[in-house]
Amino acid sequence: MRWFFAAAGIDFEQWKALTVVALKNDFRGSALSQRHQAREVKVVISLILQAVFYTMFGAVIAFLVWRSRDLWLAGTIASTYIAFIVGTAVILDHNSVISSPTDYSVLGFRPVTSRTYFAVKLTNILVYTMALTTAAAWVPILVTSARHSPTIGAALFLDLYATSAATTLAIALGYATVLRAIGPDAIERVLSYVQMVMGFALYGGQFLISGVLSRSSPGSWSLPSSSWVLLYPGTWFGSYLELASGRRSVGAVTCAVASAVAVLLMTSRLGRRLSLRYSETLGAMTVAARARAASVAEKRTRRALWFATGEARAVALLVRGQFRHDHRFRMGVLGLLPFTLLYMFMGLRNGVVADPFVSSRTMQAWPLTMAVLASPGMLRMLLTRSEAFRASWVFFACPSDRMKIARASKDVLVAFFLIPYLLVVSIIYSYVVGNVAHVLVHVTFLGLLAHLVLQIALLLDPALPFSRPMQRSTNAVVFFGFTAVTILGSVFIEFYSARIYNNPMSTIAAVAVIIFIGLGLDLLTRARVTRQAQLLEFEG
Amino acid sequence: MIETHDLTREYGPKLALSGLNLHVEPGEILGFLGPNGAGKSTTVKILTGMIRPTRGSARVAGFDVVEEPIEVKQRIGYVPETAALYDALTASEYLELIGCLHHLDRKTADTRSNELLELFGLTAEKHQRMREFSKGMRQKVLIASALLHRPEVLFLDEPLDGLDANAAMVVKEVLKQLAGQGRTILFCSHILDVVERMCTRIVIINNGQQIADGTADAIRAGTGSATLEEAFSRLTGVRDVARLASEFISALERV
Repeated sequence: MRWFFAAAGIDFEQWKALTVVALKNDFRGSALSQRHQAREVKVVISLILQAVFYTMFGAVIAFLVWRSRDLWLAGTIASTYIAFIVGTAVILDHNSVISSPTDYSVLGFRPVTSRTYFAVKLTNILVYTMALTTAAAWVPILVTSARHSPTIGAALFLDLYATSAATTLAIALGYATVLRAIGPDAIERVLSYVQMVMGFALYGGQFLISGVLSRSSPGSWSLPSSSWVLLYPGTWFGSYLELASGRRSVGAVTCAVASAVAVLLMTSRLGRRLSLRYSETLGAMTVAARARAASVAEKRTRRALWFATGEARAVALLVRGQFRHDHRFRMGVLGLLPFTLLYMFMGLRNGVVADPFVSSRTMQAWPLTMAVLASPGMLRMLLTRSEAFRASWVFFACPSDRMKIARASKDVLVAFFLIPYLLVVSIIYSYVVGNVAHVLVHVTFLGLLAHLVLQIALLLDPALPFSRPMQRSTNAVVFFGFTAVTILGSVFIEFYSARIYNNPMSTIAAVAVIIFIGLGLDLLTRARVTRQAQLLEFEG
Repeated sequence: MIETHDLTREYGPKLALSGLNLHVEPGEILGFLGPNGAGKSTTVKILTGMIRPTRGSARVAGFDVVEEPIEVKQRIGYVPETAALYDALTASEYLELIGCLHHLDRKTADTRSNELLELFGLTAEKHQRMREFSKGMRQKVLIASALLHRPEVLFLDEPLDGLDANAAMVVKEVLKQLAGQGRTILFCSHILDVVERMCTRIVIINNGQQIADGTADAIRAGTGSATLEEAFSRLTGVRDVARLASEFISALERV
């Protein structure tokens, strides 16, 4: 082990010490309002929930693999879903691991080489991705071994772990390449967009496979005959199952070789990146940012028509400032954009965005509805966390109304994100459906429901904006959980919308019910915030 | 203006503050001293309504910090020990944020913000992000934010930390004039000569308990010390600094 590290130019002792510290830091979450013991219990519960969640995700993969007669396709599906969950976890939870200059201020003046520094960062990510891969992989591997043979089960094992490692390496390589290619002065801004592109690639792959599956019944699934499909990396790892079944076609062998070459190439490229003064580049990010700011003054913030005074203005100011200049917050927000846009695209691609007042429509526009319902709620989750969480002492020391702050943090999301989404949806519906009155009613209804979702999110977690430290491992789980719930809600709405719009009275009744529930939620949130204000103490 | 009675705070089994009785009059600058971990910041956090006492009571500007926290917070300014700011904002935006939280009208907040930034020589940098600010510049913004709403009582935890000599002089003069206007100032610092020159009275706490209260002269005389620094050492239990330093150097050489 030591020999291997020495050969790679990595100081084993430093790597071990820093890796242990990095993992300890990750598991010791918030410094706010939680006693040590309660914090540890919370971490353990969170880990158990994550294990259960990813195991359930694995059960879905197992079902698809079980039903598919084409082993290559089964391997490709498994590979795609593992890439999807690993990639989502890295993008939503671990994006800062590779690109963060924060550690540099602690380690920059220590005798730690660039190579060791990067190796620690990479190990940190791999520990998480391998752990969640294990949670998601054990059920499909067992099922495949039982359904086919232990050899095919072993091939699936290789497929899933190799895909997981390749996804992690690809994202890490993407960040490392950008760090090298872009000057330090632009790196923070560019990284957000790199992440967005990665998100499109990741979710796009998942949608591609979903599309293939949706066009046929599970029993008849088979990999499309077009050789173009072999350009999709999921098929490379999926080919292990085909080879393990004894069918050694040229295509399968080529794909398997391609997967191995891809992993080796990425490892080698990453190895080279390690020698490119990685940590110094991170250090230069902060210095360059300072120099840039000294010469470029920020534009004066304009006064908005909304959020003009008091707590609302304070929250709007903070959210806008954090989005512009806190690259981790921006990365989180932009990380959700591909998901939202692809769901909108999926709703359109299904080709059946029909008049919501007509009951005979095909109910396949639910992704469009889901994009509207889910995104504001997920953004609300991002809004509570920041590296600058210690600065939230101002909310504790100033004579501000906590409920007004909580409500403002919801209203900011409505103004900056939900309303623009609804406008886009209105345009899409107006273009496809044509009946503007129907579209207006439906979009208003969706808007009220999305607002209700936000209110529920606020009631469940009425945290002050940017008052909690960044936390790894939970964002992806919340993301998947939220997605699942809103998919169910969206399908429900699609199913019942025509009945709701059947006559004006039922529409008015439905809107009244939503408003009534919203008022109730507001009262409950106020009670919760008041109680929390009495109990919560600043300990940052 | 500041009054505490039997103020106590426990963190689990640890007693951070034990039965503190303070009385600070309007116009007074109280030097609040103690070694690291003595309970100074805990006291200030209780008095600013950020944490609650386990036992006892405290009134600031005539209001109970537990029962009427909003009334207290409307009347106080606070500079925390850790210069934590939302540094993605510019100095001007941060002061606007504080103005909003104190419900100052836009024009008043702008005027005061500009005046304060000018006082601290930050006018040229007011539209720059604070992430790029030096420690001293951040400290100036924090002090400006504490003064923005013209508080009756000021809690300053190491306010001169990171400031250059000129800025420190400005801050000291501002504090003296504010005290002259009848505002109450609680001043925590480890720079004892500054405390000695600025403060009308000094309270020293150790292990959460008050161990001295009086003018600098009275404390010196009471401990038979020539300087406040020496008196502080005696009162907080470090009697032979030279011997301690020698032991430390020896330990370093042994390992």
